[in-house]
Amino acid sequence: MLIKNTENHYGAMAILLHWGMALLIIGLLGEGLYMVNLPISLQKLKLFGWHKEYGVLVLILVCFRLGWRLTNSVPALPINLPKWQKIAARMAHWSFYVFMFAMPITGWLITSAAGLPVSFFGWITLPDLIVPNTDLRIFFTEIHQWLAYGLIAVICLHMGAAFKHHFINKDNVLRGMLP
Amino acid sequence: MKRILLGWVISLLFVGSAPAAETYQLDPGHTYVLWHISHFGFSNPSGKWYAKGTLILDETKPQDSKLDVTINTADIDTGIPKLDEHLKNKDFFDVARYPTATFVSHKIQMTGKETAKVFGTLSLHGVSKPVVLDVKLNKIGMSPIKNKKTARFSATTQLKRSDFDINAYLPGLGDEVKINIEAEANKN
Repeated sequence: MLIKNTENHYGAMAILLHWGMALLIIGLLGEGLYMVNLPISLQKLKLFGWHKEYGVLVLILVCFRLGWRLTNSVPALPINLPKWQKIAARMAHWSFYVFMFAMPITGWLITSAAGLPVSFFGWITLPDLIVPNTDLRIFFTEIHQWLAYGLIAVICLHMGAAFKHHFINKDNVLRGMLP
Repeated sequence: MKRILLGWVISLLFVGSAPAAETYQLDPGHTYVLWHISHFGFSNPSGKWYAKGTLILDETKPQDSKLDVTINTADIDTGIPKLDEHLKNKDFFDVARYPTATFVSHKIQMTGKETAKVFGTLSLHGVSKPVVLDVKLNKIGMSPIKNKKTARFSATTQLKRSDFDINAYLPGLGDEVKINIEAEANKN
């Protein structure tokens, strides 16, 4: 397999980023949904700390991934696919990029507004984007929450479409993203 | 006459440069490492370990002295048993995996008659990094309690716990750790 994408298969870099970030993001969604309902405790604080660090990791990775996406061609969708499905597929893909930026950035805004800065694995402490402010913290928390629900919905749609291509249409769409 | 004088000078030089290094044991009852850390900006909790080790002190050439200190990480004492337990677990010092921490000097730079910078390697939590202690000699003399020649020192330093991979609750629980050391060493 080539590092770069080809006409009918994603390259190694795109595949690594896709599955690596899929694991990371689904993990963060699950952990996020779990941790927010915990009572205030050291454990909760620790889980929030991890959520922030791995969220920053997503932000770093997506910057690189966007650059990679923009400088690579992508495998063509099946020729016989209805036009609306082609548009829907590309829209879902681009919406993932919006989510991958918007989730960590709103998270960063929440933690800044809460006055609890983010450490990135002890290497650096991120600067605060805004000064502590309770109203803004609640505002960005709600945006972060609804973005998460939206992201879960798009992930379900994306997975459903991948399975439909693979098992019903029996085409190469899913295989194109497999190693 | 000249020759006699020269011989006398040479013999004097030899006396002056006679090995003056003496070996001392750090007294764990009076030698401790006290740390302070910011608790989410609210307060500055502290805790300590008592330490043991060896000091080779050369009074004529203090820059040739050597220091080797060990603490048992499980002996951490904050005065709060629950906090001690938390500090011993994997979030912080992970004492089951890293039972000791050591500091070994490799260079001493005199900054005054009784002050020095002691450069050494701190090994803590599986990581070894250079650390510099600002040391002040308080007193050398016979201890009236032990009847042994005793040297007393105070030292300070500052380090980042993230340098030693102790990252839990950063940065709310501060990264900067202030350290005050008191040491009493008895000559063997």
